[in-house]
Amino acid sequence: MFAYVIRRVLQTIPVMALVALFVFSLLYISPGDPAAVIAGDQATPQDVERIRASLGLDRPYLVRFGTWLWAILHGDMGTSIFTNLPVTTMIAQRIEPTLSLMALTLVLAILIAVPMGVVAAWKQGTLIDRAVMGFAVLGFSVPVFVVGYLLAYVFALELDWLPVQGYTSLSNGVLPWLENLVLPAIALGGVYIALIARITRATMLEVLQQDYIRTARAKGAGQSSILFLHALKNAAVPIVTVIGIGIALLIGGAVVTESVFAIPGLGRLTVDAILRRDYPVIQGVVLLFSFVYVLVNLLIDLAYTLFDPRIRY
Amino acid sequence: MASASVLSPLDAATPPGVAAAAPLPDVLPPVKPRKGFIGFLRRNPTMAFGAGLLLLMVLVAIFAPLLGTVDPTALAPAKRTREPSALYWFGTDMLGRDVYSRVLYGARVSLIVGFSVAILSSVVGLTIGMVSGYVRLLDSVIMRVMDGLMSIPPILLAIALMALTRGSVQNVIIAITIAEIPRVSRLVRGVVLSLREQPYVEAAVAAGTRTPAIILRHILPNTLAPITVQATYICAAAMITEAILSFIGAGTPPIIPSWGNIMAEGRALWQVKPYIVFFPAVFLSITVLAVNLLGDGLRDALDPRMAKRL
Amino acid sequence: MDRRNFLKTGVAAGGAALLGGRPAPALSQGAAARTLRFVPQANLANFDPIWGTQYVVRNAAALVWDTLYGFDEELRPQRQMVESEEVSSDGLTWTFKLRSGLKFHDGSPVTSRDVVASLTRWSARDSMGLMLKALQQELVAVDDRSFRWVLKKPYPKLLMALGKNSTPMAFIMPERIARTDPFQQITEYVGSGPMRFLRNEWVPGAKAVFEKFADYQPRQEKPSWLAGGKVINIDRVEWIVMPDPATAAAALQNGEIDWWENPITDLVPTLRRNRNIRADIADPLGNVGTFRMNHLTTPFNSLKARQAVMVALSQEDYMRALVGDDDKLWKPLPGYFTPGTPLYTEEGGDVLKGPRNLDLAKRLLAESGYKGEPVPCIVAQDQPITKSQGDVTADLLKRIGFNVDFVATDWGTTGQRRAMKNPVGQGGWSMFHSWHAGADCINPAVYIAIRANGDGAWFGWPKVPEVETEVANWFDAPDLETEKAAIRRLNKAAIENVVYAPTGFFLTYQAWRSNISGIQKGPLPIFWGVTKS
Repeated sequence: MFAYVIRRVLQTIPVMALVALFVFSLLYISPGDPAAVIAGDQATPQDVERIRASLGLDRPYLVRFGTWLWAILHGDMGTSIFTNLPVTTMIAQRIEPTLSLMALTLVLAILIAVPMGVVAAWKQGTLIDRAVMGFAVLGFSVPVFVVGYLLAYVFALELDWLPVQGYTSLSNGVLPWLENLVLPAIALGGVYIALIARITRATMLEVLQQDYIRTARAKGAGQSSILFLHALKNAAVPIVTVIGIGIALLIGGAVVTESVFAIPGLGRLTVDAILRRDYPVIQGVVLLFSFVYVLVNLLIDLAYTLFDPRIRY
Repeated sequence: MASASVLSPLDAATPPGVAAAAPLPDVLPPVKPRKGFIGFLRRNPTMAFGAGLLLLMVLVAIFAPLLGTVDPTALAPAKRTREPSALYWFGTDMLGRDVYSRVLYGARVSLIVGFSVAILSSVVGLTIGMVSGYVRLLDSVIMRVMDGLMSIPPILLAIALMALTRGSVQNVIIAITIAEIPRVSRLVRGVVLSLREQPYVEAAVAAGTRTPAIILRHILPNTLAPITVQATYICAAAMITEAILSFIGAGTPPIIPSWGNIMAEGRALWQVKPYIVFFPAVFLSITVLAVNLLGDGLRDALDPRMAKRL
Repeated sequence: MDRRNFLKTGVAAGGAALLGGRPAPALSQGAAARTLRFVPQANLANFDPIWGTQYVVRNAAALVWDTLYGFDEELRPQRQMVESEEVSSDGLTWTFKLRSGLKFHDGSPVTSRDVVASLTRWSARDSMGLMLKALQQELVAVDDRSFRWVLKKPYPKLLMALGKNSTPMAFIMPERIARTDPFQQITEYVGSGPMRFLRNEWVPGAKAVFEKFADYQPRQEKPSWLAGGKVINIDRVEWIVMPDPATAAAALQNGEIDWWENPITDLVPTLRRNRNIRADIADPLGNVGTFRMNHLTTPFNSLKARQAVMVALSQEDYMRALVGDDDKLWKPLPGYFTPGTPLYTEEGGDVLKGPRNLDLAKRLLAESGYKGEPVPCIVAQDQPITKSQGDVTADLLKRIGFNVDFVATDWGTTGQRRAMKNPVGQGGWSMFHSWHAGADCINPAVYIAIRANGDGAWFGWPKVPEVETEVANWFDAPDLETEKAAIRRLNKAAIENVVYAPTGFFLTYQAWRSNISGIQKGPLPIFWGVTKS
């Protein structure tokens, strides 16, 4: 078990190294000269050359990659071309809203999607099942920003129940925090709910046909205890795996959701950086998101033993 | 670990089903006895519905010039933001362009992006997956690279790639394709690896059949089913991604009327002129829905083991 | 059910303990009333008003840094930090005395050494500053409160240079900051203006916060634009960047923000229907839309190609695309100077009037020797003003017969790309769109875009000696009539040689909640005198 954990953790290192190489190469092959951008409109060629040298841009590719990686490992992601602020500072300023949004969406999605999938499997072929499956397909088919605008229009503008935009830090209390995040979380959660509900239904169907469930039924165990205690527990592994993989969906969706709801998070930082070709920031954010993704999936892999005692390593 | 690798070919942006389709070869999809095309469709109503809808959209795209449209890029600032009417079926946008014409021509962009990404990523992913599954030496290298690429959320990867290049339909297709390739490759590799252990393949190898022949006769045909299903989901996801890229300003150039661009331009007036966003949103959603339904139907038809339950 | 109660009800039902039950210490009524939430026109990405010349940087800087003089609404420079000035009879020696008691936000007094360092840095970047620098004999501090500027030749527009609101403005910074290389960004944001910049709360791309500077000593005169007493009646100003105008509109309707600098015109009627919202013209001097051509590269290095655009472009199309259906918001502009100001003229402007002549444009283009080379049009998509102009241009140029290479980009990238003098095909460009505030188009001193001195001119680098001659004549003009005559000749020469193509004159709105009062009309948002009840 312990050896497995170590091995699994070590496996993420080459993956992250590859991501780093890829992200670094993005800057390397990008058109345009960061030195010229930093130097500004009226710089002379000598100025630009001086800045190039001071940034180390005149050195060979591998040397630059090494230096960059070394700096990253020491928590230095470079400096934004446009704001002149360290990338780590900019990320630190914006990480709370994004993590909050993703965490809330995750919780909401699981709370909604898993029961949906379970009920659909249980009532297979009925109207409820069809409704759930219909919703699931629809969830994949409507772009997140359309859902966002609809929600904002109905619940914020027409009904005035919730704010339209913005973010209130958790340190100002749970309620204000929640008020600002509920609509974005629902908008962002749509695809995710669809994904989890589908896999839950599919796995549950498989599990429900297993012998031990039939045995439990024969023994007269209650319907809900069969569903949620026996069956769901045995269906947990694929569901949790999909939840982990789906984090990628959340990250992609957050980029859009934060724009729609004016949430000052990493997603908007990404969009702004990309529109302005602020490569150090792009690198920093992509690296961070990938790291989060790899980390979450690592934790999920490690957590399998908890969900499914049959898995032994 | 085992369970994780079984499920990992699942594209995060595509519905599951495929996940279960990956290890399918224990029940090889027999070629169904077809009692005519109609019979086939009747047995698979979901697919028939999805395919019909999609076909309709393709026809709309192809025959857009004949469907009462005008030049979708022609400006008429004097006739801007007109409500939908007999003259302007879907109204006009803030530059006086006819939204109906733009939406119909926009179908071309979305469908081209969706189909191109689906085909390109399948072909490239198939090749990489085959090589990986067959050439042991390259397998671990390729798969590590794919792992790395897969760790970058696909939309983020596509956006980052778009930052490198100028917005054009071609670049959008390439960016989304690159983001989708790793998942297809893993799927194909998984199928190849399990097929290689099938008794009849082992028998063929033992009988001295040459590798290209085995690939052509046994491996490829059996890979096509899951990859076709996967391709439809990729097609759907690519159309959504195209819209998202345009929405955040990193997609097709704004002078091209794609659904994403029409929505991106109309979003500022969402409150007062909702129709500018509404019509492209409905068309996009219907098209993506059609492709998703087609995918679900295909999966059920090609994978009877799943079909029994879904 | 109102919004506040929505979640509370839910919590009560779900059990408050579940959510931690911690009461939300929302801002007390008083604190909320003293915080003004403002949505600026663009993101404050950098904060050095000498290095960066975007309007949004200038607008924020006007809160933090003070100026020696400031334009009032009559466009006259009035004393601001200066108590008195003296000029020798030959017009060569200016002696200034600062007001007493001026302090920087770090508590140190404002001295003439700070002023000298600030003016030195500013004059390296500003067009009027560069002229002054060329004339400068010496600029020295006499004592703590007075300084002397000795010139080789009289410069009658000196006070205008110090008080103008076109960028970069002559802001006064502490000497240690002002010593920064003018081509490098400053990293410390300490000024002597009426508000302090709270750097630790700055989230570029999202938020910038300013706090009332308690030790600021406003002048006694009535406030008028950048002149008069800058009395701050609010404790905090929060600039909230909203990437999406639809969101900003909704936030204003919901009372989540107090003041929106640039609402989209199409949304104004909806905003006005809300009785809690006021909307009015932001700046009576309006804006001039520009179609800026590159005089160094194909095809617009040819006069005929530039004229082809002039005879075909419809200002009405541009303006309607920009401001919508409200005809009160725009005017045709057959000239370059701001309508309603003394130097406005239509001399030579006939080519922009009357029916548009596409056939003539095609003929001119053929005569220009244009052979279908690509024409890179750099169009920023994140600024509604450039975006809608660009859409009209793509259509226009296509119809004339140009091979349009539409480069959709953002405002920041436009700023970089337009600085490149390379030929087309090597990163060079043919045209881009911008706009100038009307206040920046009132005379050649503040109007950088009208200059036609080749390499020294604004992007596009037009070289038209007649225009430059008239600029010099205007600077030397002893009275308004002579000034007007020079400007008439300038306008004619600029149109004939197409320094750039004006796309029209337009007004923009600003909108605010009705509990905000004291908002001025002006070329920049003015926070002094504003109260929130």
